[in-house]
Amino acid sequence: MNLLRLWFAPNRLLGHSQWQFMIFVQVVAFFTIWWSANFPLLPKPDEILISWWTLVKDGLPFELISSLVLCMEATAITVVVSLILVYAAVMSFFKPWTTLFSKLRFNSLVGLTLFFTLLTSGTHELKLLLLASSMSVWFVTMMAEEIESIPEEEYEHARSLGMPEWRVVWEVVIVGRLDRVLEVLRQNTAISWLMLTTVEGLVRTEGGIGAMLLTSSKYLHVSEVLAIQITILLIGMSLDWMYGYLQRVFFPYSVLARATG
Amino acid sequence: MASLFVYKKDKVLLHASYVCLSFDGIPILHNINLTIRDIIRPGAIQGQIVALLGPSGIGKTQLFKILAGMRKPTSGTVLVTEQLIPVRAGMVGVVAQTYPLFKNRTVLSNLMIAAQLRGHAKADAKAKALEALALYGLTEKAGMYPRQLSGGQRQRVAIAQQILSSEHFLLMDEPFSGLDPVMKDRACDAILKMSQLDELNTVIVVTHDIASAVTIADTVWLMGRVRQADGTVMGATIIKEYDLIERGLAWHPDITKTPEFQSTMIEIRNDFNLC
Repeated sequence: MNLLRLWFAPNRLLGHSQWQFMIFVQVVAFFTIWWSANFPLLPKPDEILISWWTLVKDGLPFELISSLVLCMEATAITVVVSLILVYAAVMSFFKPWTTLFSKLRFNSLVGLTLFFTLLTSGTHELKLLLLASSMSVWFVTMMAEEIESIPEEEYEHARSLGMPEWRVVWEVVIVGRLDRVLEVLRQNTAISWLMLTTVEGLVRTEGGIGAMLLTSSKYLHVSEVLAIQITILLIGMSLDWMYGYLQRVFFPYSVLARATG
Repeated sequence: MASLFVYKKDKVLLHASYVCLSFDGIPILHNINLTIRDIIRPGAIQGQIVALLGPSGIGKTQLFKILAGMRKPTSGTVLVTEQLIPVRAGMVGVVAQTYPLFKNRTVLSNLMIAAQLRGHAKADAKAKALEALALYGLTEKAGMYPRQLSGGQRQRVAIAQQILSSEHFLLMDEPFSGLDPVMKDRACDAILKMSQLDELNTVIVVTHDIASAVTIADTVWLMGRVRQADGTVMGATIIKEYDLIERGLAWHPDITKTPEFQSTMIEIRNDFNLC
């Protein structure tokens, strides 16, 4: 009873072992309900496992690699293009262009495919362009907000040391916010997987996990859809962990607890 | 009580003349004139500590930025150093209220960059930074990031960084704000120590903490608003200067226990209320 009170008390921090025990109980409860319940539309865990194994035999790992490669290429282009746009906004002339680019996030990819097809010479390039452009608008928006939120006193501190204005930009905006680039990239990865399935659905010739998902969905193979979704979730969580690890290695100051006193 | 010490005020180290500032036609500062002279005490290294007092919102921070060369006044000039050259950013060290440091650099790297910007080569900058760390009792914190420091340690690193960058001038914005009495005493000690490192070291403390200002300063300037006959505000200026050396209130270890300290406090508080 005391344990339940602890779990449902507001703003209560649990100890590590208490936390682990609570998660264990929740996982056991979740799978028990799932297994014992009789929802006609929801496949049982063993059905999903069987579908997942069938998908593996049908080439899921290759589709996954194809999607991951596309995602990594698009991420590399996104980071370079977005950072150029965001850093250029320190100059008044480029600020409206950066703002306009950020507003493009309201546009849908549907309808732009034709336009992008005319710009590119192959389907891979087309997918890359579609994915990189849709990722970039979000990356620019998030990174521009990071830079907007730099307190004026950080600029003044750099100036007080006698730094010329470009050095101020280098120290405060570029080097001083590199850790935030990784954090934005981490958030952007989730968006990229959301976009990836859409892009691969729009351009199916090269396959990919998105095309596989749409095919399963079209033929109402619910257990396959859930197997793919769980795979995407696990990949996403692994990438999230990887970015967190890189942040701890390369930018240890950004994850340090603040000292008191 | 007259000064207990033999001293003289020598050459001018900072001179502001007819400094005015207005934003969109709204006057903020009006004809500010002030001078800081090198105080010479035979047999002692004595820097200068000036406290700038004034009520909140009067324009202390704007004057602070002008004196630091970080804001151009609408009119008037600020000259610094023994050569009296126009101030520009980087010539006067600035310690803001939140003690900003480069969060991505270690304590040692924060100090080294200040020395390098001053023109020192990397090896020389490192030697100077280590020297400053030892002076402020922060040697064991050299490899830490600012986020790992306590408020007091952070303040000392910020002071050391600005001293390495500007050599002799230091402007401090509300250094006693939000500090408990023990931390306030430590902050006062750090400021006094800094002023006694070099004959030309000059600290200007912007504050509204009258007791701390009288405890450490040799001169107190009080800012107040200038009004026309019809009551229109023309901006803020220095309305009164208190020479604490002449009153026997400077360089005195038990200054707060003296009756002169209490009477000066009451006098400043009364003048403060009229600002």
